[in-house]
Amino acid sequence: MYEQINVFDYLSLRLREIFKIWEAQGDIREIRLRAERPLLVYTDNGENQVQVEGRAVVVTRKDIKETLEYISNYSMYAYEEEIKKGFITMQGGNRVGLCGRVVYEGDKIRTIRNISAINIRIAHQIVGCSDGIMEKLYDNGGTDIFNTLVVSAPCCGKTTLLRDIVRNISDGFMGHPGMTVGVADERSEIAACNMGVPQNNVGMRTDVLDGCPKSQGMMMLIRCMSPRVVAVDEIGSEEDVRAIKYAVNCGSRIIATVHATSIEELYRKPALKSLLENKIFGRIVLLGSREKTGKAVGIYDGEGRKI
Amino acid sequence: MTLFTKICGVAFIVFSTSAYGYVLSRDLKSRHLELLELKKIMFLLKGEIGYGLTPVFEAMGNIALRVSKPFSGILESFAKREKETKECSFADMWEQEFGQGLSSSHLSVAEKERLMGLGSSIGLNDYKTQQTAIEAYMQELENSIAELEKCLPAKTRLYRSLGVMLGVVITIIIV
Repeated sequence: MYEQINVFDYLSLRLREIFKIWEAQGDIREIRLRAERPLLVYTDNGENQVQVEGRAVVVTRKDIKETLEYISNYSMYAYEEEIKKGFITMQGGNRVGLCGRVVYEGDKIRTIRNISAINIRIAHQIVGCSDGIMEKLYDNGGTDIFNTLVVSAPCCGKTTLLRDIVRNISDGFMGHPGMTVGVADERSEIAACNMGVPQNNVGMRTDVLDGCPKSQGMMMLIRCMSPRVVAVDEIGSEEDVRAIKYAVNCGSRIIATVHATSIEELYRKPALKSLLENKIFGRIVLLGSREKTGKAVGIYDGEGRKI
Repeated sequence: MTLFTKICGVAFIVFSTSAYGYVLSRDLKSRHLELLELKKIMFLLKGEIGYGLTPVFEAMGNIALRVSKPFSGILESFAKREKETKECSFADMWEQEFGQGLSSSHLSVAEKERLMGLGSSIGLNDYKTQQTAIEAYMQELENSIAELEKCLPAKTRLYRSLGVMLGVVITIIIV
């Protein structure tokens, strides 16, 4: 079901040959292709310029065209809505960022033409990263879940943790029964859907509304799929807050993430004030800084008390 | 040579030339039917791409179920290539599949070339450009169909009569 995709099979034939001799393919986090520029690869150790016989490998326009053909399965038109947002989600959940000439229709982006730069970000979901905190998120003897807010600075593993919480709730965790989860995945970051099918493991009872604005998505899910739990990434607008209140009033539980570096900063956010004052969230999970990516440094109750 | 042998020979010659005329007229009709079927495929492909934004292999598989041979076989085989590791351009795959599948088709050389050319316009464009390419090809198909339909009844009759006549002429010359 969650098939491991070899991302190198989607590169142009010439680049594929070069990567055949690349050691430690598993360490690669990003591959950057820029027309007429050197091929760059990012690993945990930083940037690497790909070289063959001591010479830098230069990416050609043909490489980019060919790679795009393979990535889109020869159907670029089928990814038009995603291209408008600047990326394509490949099979396997790998994210492909695109740059080129933006074509407008009125004041809206119609498409990107003459694509000259591709950034392939290799998906790295961490199954089991939420196991350590799951017990604290269950309420009512394990049959219900607290409304939970995951808080962290950018790039500190909020979405990765949220995805794993969703998976655990959906599949059932350590004897707790599984629950129906609805995910409003506006930027395809949680489930990484390809043609509507989640490429990340988000659990067997999870329904994903892909590419839909969060606030609308939450309401649609509640009306159409009646989820016990609604999951949403990076809330912050007034519309999001209204949709969360609607979901809570309908009896659904909410698992959400928000940007903030501390509990104090979270309580200072004007948009979330009403949610926090009314103690909508029963659990607030604060994640560590970049040095402690994905690690919960504190779990708080609705009163803001550390538990 | 007995009279019976002569009659048999004459009958054989007339039958053969008439059958040849009939085959020619049937080929012309088959070409007409294939052009109509191609038009139907393009119409369905335009719908799948333009309205459903269906990926091209899936679209081919869907269309294969709704058209007749030899196109159903070609499209089915095309759809199966979705799972294989990609190693050539869409245009090359298109040429391989249609080239092999239409080896015994009745389409003219020019019509086959135009069909092969369409492969290079599919895959890397946005849906509007994609639809425009398919529409342009459909227009060419319609021209070919109209041209053929104009002369089809006359040519069919001509091939059949010429077949019989040729047999008669050969018989007269021999006898």
